[in-house]
Amino acid sequence: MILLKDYQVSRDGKNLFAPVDLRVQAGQCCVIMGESGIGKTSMLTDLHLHYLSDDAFMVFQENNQLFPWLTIRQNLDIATKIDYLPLVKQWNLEQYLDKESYEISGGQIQRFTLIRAVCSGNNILLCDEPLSALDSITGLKIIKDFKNIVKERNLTVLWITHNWNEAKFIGDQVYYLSKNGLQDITKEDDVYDTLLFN
Amino acid sequence: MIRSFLINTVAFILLLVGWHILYLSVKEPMIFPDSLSIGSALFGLVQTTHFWSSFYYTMRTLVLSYILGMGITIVIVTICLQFTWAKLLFIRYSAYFNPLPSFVLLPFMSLFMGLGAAVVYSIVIWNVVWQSGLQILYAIENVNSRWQKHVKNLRWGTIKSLRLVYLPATISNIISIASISWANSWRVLISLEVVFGSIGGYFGLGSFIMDTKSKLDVDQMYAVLFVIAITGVLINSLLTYISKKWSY
Repeated sequence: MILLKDYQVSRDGKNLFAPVDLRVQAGQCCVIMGESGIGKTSMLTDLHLHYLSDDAFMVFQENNQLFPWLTIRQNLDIATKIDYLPLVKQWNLEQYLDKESYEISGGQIQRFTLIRAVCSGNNILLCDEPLSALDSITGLKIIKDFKNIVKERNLTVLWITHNWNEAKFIGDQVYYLSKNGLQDITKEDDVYDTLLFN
Repeated sequence: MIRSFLINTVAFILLLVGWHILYLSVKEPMIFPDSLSIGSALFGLVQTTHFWSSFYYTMRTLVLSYILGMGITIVIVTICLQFTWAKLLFIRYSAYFNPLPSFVLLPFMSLFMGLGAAVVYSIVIWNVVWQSGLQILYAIENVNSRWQKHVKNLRWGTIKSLRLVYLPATISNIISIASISWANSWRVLISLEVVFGSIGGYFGLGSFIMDTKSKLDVDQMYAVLFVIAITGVLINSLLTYISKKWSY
């Protein structure tokens, strides 16, 4: 479970947003949206380094997060505690296991990165735009499977995205982060309408 | 590869031409023998076991002392990555000892160890440790932030992080540092051998040069110099090639 009370992130001595309260139960996925530069990645990195360092595994925003001197299989072997093969088969990625990371596409790398996180044995996952290099159909399929895994393994997930469909599809709670703090937009049908005209 | 070979060939031909011009202008074969005499001396040398045994002696000393030096360096760097106090001490000591030409240790070392192979080994090891230690430490500390974040993510200890991430990520830098250190050790070793001559049962390529000089066999002296230069260039090219191949 993630529990934040009056939480703030500062950069160069200035707070990036107003204090926020956040509670994410185990088995739930909380999505955070927000304009670029507001501090979403800083928030996740700060949580990862200072507050959840023993329990959390972070999926970073960079495109290639796999070690290029190892094969994909070796990358997964060194970082996972749970058998990753069923998920690799489910996402049709077996044929890439013995390749190097520079031999596969950005989308495939992102899927392997997500598999590594899910099978890392950590109970909290901090995912910073983990599907940004995937097409929307593949992305939604991955999200569907990912959501099931989150429920099955009782994982707690904090997920950052700029994609409203992705947010609605995966999020048990969806928040919009602005200077004023977190705004709950879980029940909104059209977030653009709400955010732009209210 | 072909381009590099062509450049080397042209450079070598230019060197030969320059040498010949010098030979014609000096006209003193005891100082500047002509390139053909050096070539034939080299041809004669490579057929003698005496030459190959001194070549082997130099290479063995260099390889062994270099491996020992790099081993000690890696241990020191590992300790420095683990403990801040060790790092601070090492940085301080490097500032003291790195600018000190390792050659000047010869009189001090010979006081403790006498004149023999042990002194040569110690000086080359000293040279390797202070030359490459700090640079390897900085290369590892400045590894791409992406990999640093991953190491934190995976919560590995120092040894595992070094083995699986930091060393592979910096292998190209480390080989570059190692090749510079190798070239320097090569120079130090040959100079030591020249100074040593064949004292203490030690007889390497440098000793061979001194031997040919005392016998006034200038052709052979230049031929050995040529071998030393070519060996240095070949090993350096090999290390550069490996460093490019393993760059991420």
